[in-house]
Amino acid sequence: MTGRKSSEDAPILNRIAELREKAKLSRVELAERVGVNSQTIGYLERGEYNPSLALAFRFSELFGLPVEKIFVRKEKRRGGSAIKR
Amino acid sequence: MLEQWVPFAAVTFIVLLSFITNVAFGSKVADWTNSAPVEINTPWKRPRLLAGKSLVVLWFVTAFLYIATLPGAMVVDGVVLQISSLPALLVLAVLTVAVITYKRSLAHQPNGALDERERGVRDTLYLTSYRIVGSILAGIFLAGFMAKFIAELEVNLDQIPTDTALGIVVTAAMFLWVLPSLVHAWTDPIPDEVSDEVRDGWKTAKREIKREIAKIRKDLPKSEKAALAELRKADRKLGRTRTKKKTGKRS
Repeated sequence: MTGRKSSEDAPILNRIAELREKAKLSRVELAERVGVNSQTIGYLERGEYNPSLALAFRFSELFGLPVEKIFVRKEKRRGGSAIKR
Repeated sequence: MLEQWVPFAAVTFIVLLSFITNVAFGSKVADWTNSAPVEINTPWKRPRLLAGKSLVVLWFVTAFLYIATLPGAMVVDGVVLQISSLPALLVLAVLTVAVITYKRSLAHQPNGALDERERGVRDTLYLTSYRIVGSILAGIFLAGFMAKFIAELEVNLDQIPTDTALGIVVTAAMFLWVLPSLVHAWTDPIPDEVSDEVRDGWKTAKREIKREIAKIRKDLPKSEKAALAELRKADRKLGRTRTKKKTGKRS
């Protein structure tokens, strides 16, 4: 029970900011491409909002990466990739 | 009569001006003033949030003043304050529009105009509003019940003049309409998104300026050398002309 609760509470981390910078996109441009408000991109990058599955897949399609490469449950730092909460 | 309104009008003017400059124009103001947004996430340096809270406070103060100055509600030296409630009603109407348009009127937007996060925020605003209205109604009923059955007071709503009752109903209707936006303006903890973008812009600009300075510094010795060479050339030319002049004189 406790273990399940702790896994539910674990934050979902993402690499949106890093991937956006790599793709040389501004927040507004990225927001337009995935169909959200630019403020929502800010929330996602700061880890203050977790996207729906549909939005997660839109990011996946845009960046050409599987969803699990963009959104993770545990922080991993391989090759200096910055995963933001 | 007018003197009573001067401080209120001054506060209204200052808060509305703050609201307009900080919220309505947003990034444009930052561009005009050409100031770098430093430490934007510090709570006391969030003008948008302060403007939101100020708006909410001002709305309630105005609503209170409007109700207080309704005919029959306040009588000064035997004169019923009928005219004074009108400016309060106008200010209340202006503030209601200002509160509703705060943050793109998010609370009053249809589903199609919002993304999934904004829809969630809007639904939470309505949930909080229903809770607030429920608590207020429960409080009123409890107070009425206690007054009637515990304190055994005579509660007679017919004693309230029609104009006052109408004013209270108008204020209550406005309150119900604007409540989700009031909740949004009060609780919205959003750091300035535009400032984030501007800050990023400043960082790149700083980097570019540094690069330019480094480039100029690199080029500087070359130009110095070029200048020295030019000087030497000029000196040589000058020397030649002098010798020519001297030989010319001799001949």
